[in-house]
Amino acid sequence: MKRADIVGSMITILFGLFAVTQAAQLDYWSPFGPGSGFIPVWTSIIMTGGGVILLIQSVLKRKAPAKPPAPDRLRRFIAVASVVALTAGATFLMDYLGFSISIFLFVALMVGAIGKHRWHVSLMTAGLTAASFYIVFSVWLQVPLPKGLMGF
Amino acid sequence: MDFFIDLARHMGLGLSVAVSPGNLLFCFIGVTLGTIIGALPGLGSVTGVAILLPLTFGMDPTTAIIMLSGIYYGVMYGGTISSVLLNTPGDAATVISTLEGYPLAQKGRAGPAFAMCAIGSFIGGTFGNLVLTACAPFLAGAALTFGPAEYFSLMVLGMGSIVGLASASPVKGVIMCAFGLLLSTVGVDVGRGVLRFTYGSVFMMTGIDFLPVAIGLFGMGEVLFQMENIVALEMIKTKITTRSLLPTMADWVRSRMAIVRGSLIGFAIGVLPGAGATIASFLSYATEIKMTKHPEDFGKGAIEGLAGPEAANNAAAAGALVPMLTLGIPGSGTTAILLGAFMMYGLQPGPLLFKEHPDLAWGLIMSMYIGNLMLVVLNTIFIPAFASVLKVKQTIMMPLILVLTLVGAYTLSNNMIEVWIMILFGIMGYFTKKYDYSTAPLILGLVLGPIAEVNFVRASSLAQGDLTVFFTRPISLTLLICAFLGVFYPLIKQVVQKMRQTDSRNRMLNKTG
Repeated sequence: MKRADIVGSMITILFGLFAVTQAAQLDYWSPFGPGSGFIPVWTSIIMTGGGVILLIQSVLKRKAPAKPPAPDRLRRFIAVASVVALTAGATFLMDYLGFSISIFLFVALMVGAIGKHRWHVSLMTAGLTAASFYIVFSVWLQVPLPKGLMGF
Repeated sequence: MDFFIDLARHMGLGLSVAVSPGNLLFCFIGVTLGTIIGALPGLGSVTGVAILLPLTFGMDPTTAIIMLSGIYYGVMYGGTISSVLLNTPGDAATVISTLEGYPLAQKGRAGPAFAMCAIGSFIGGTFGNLVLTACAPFLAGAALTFGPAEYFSLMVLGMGSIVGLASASPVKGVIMCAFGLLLSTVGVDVGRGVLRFTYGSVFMMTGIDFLPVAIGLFGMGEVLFQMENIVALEMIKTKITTRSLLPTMADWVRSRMAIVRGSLIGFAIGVLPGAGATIASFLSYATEIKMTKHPEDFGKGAIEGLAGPEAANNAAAAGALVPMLTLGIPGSGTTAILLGAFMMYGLQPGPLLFKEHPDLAWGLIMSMYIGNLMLVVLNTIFIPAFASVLKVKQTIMMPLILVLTLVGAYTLSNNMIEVWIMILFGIMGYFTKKYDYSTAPLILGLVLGPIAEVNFVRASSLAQGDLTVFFTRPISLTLLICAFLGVFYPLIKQVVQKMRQTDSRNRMLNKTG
């Protein structure tokens, strides 16, 4: 956690400083009182200050006895990264394949490839999910779900 | 006398709204969905309300808010199911229920455990409602005298207390809250008509909506976190029949005072911004350990240690609605999302809500009595049906939740950019959960930011730019002092504990010396 906190505080400080420079370009004070830059400037300063305190806290924190690295760390990382990749992929494909097909593929891969279920289970889950979401959102709630090149 | 006549009139109006067929139906759907979400391990009220909010688009605002609140307090009931049967809490507020609930199920007493929980939850929830009904008009009336300076300080208090009480590390809480506030400044500055941080993008002009952010942080972030830690959960094999639900006389006798104490503790804690159902249930459990005549049973299936915290978390859920409805300051992630939902429907919770939309405010309060009645029936007679939800594997449930998050983010404005924002915050949500950055302050900052800024600008303009106005008005100053104490509460607690330790050490030395 110590290393993670140091990295987190550094990101906060860098982002906070960037926000300060951006907010400083807005009017800090207007003839009637605080300008549109007042709140952004101060929130960025508070954020940067928080980052600095967190950095000091984590540097001063006694190092916890080294835990052996989790044996399945790589597996966990791959699990999370593949879910993100599949979600992003499905979102990207929605403009081309439409909502229903993208969701069908997404659920089939999530259940089959990541969840390691048998293919008939994953295909059935995917079919049912795509159909029920289409019925609830497109037919019942009248949400214009993204249509693909094929027109649905 | 006038107060009671007014109250009866308002309750009558609320009841007429709550019992309309549409509102009854969606109240039922809300509490049922809440129980299911609660029963699913790891998914709590905040995730439930965030991912199911898009289902209410296009509804009448009153119906939508009734359904969303139903999800909120329904989760408090449903969370117990996985705590008792899986030894895994369904919601943070039912963590403590695993300690006594699971051993009870192991002894084959899952039925009475569920029945006592449902009854405790019903009493706690109804008690919370009663106090909410009685004190909401008072608070709302008092807050009507607030000017912009007081409002701004109230918002600071809301943010300050959630940072101090709800975050594992107050510093991380401050960082998240400031980030939320900063995000809320993106887009057109309504007060002055200036563009901020839009970088030439038309999309950014409308600002960053809270909903994709909330769905990402609490929905997708939660799924990613769960996918990383998927473990096969072993459900206790037990047959729950209607007859097995009946608690014994001894169960009643042991639990009745625990339920009363839990209800009182729950409401009192729930009303405090920042301290919600989770803290209430822990406190109730700690109280029961002190008060019990059977300390030897604790940890081995003491039914009073289950009934008390269950009453507490439900009373707290009702209590948490008090500051949200009457003052417009939410005390938790879930109430922050509810506040956002109100604003999405063009409503502003706060004292004016009771004046301008009494049908909605009272309709919601009265629907909660009905919702609690529905829940007590659902969570006793239909408990086997809800327990069967636990049989669905996480590897099937999680993709479905992800689809809900995708559709939810899209339906807000039928725009794919919102989906990408949701994914971005989903990734952030995963890391914040992994590294203990509480996300509730971020949502609170994002939701309260615009209102806080409008009131800040209004108050300082009225005072010709003099910022001391926030410190010279007594109510504003009191609220700011409370906010300061809220943020520094963990630090103050540490100092007081150290002083006590030194004091007792000195006394010991004096005695021995």
